[in-house]
Amino acid sequence: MKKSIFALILLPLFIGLWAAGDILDIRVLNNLGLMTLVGVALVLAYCYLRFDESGPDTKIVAIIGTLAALSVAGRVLFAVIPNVQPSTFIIIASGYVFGPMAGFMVGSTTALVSNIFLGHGPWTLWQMLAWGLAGLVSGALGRKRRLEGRWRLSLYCSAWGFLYGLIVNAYFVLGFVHPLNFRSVVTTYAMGFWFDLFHAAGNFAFAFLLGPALVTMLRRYRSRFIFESEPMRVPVGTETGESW
Amino acid sequence: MIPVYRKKDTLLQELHPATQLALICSLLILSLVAKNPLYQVAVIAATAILSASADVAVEWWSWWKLCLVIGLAALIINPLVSRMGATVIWRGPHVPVLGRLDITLEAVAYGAGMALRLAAVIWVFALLSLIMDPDRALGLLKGKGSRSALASALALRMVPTAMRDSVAILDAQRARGVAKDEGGKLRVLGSRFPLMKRLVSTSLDRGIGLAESMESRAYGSHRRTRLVEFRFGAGDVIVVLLAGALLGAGLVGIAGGGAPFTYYPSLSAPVSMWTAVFAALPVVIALIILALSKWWKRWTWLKLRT
Repeated sequence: MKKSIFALILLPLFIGLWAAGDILDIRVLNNLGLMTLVGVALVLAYCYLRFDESGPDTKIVAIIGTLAALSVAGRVLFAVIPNVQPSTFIIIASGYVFGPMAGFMVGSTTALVSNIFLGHGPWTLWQMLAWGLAGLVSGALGRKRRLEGRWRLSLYCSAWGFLYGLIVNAYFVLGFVHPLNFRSVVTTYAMGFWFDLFHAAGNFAFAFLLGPALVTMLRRYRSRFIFESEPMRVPVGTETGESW
Repeated sequence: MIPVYRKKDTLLQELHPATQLALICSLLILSLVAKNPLYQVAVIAATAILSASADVAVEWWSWWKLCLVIGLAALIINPLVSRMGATVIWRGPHVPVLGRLDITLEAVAYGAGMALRLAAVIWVFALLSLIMDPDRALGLLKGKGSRSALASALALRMVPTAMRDSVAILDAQRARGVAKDEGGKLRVLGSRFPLMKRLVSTSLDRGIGLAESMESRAYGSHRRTRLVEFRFGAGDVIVVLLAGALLGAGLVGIAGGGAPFTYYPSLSAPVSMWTAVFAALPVVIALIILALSKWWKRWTWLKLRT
């Protein structure tokens, strides 16, 4: 059995364990903060294993590493301005051009590596998930070129500024706020609204000023270096290839 | 920016990455699962002792600002949203969405408990960042042929290069008068945008060059060989056993109601001998590791690898 399938099977089993812990009030198993953290880790493990099992080309691996490094460098360089960073925009552009799996890898690697410089915490796995999803969804949209045009791309990037905040703040809401209800969720997200607004505005600015140029540049690299060779066509009547 | 991993000749840093993860996970799970704030204090104390044993206590302490900022958020939000406490200490006005703002003693205590838990979790992650060499951690997976680990390792290696490139490009742009360093944050930020384009093309060229050089050395054509193998040593075995004992005893204690603590509807913290025993466990285990790390240079058998 493939390892990724094993991770996928573990996920519902784990959710069942959590539900049982909640119903039977087993103290360790009904801890929402811990259980959601393990659930996110399993989702990430599935995606990483899927990527490994797809046997990606060395050039794709190098490009993912390079784009993630750029995204990390951008995050660190712009760290002085709260939440204004080119990372989300680079991840979205990467996914859009190189596909969902590459986009996911650039996103999750950005979170993992940048937190080595900016600080790991309970938020790291959620950041990996949020940025990974940004790359994955953009990759899916890229197949039919749904984000062509400066305005469309910019608005999409700025929407991910809010979505990112929605996903990452979940670690705080689920693990450290009680009771969990409409009021507590709204209050927690309202307190982080300004950070998300800065993130969305930054994404919009980066995508509006650099988006089309970056997408064109990445497409040029993709067409130059990433290609699949077609099987050689043998002329009719010379199937054995002896006459070549 | 926070202090990052610096190699120091200490037991905790020399352990197998899997052993380091086992120790960190046991502390992390305990801090997330335990309701009794005494546990959180014990985990923070244990983490402080472990950081001292790894000679990174000053760097570990520098994370206090992060703990304070995020802990304050928990301390503020919980009293605002909870209506479960019995002891009202302040009757506030009616606020849209939130309803009537009645602050209870129990909700404030819960907020403080959550702030303490967040501090414990963040300091455990701080210890992880300071004792675990990212290259060794990724190397462990790369040895198994993981392409995702290779991508992460490449990103980690290329960040300093990308930073150096950005400085060089910025210098060139300054010389041409394109980059601005004065005139407000927005103006400075705006002048940095052209930098991104150049940085992307330079880095992608380098990435492609790297991939070609890897392919020319037959990367991925066969199982990878390694110059240095990671092996478990006697020190690893002892630390894994200690981490297992810490987690096992802690979970059994919590599940069995060994250290009860109730926030709602009114505060209740019955103190028994078991509460003290369970809370002391992380500190005792951290002290054993501290003692081991003091002697490990003399006890050569601790360095033996299987």
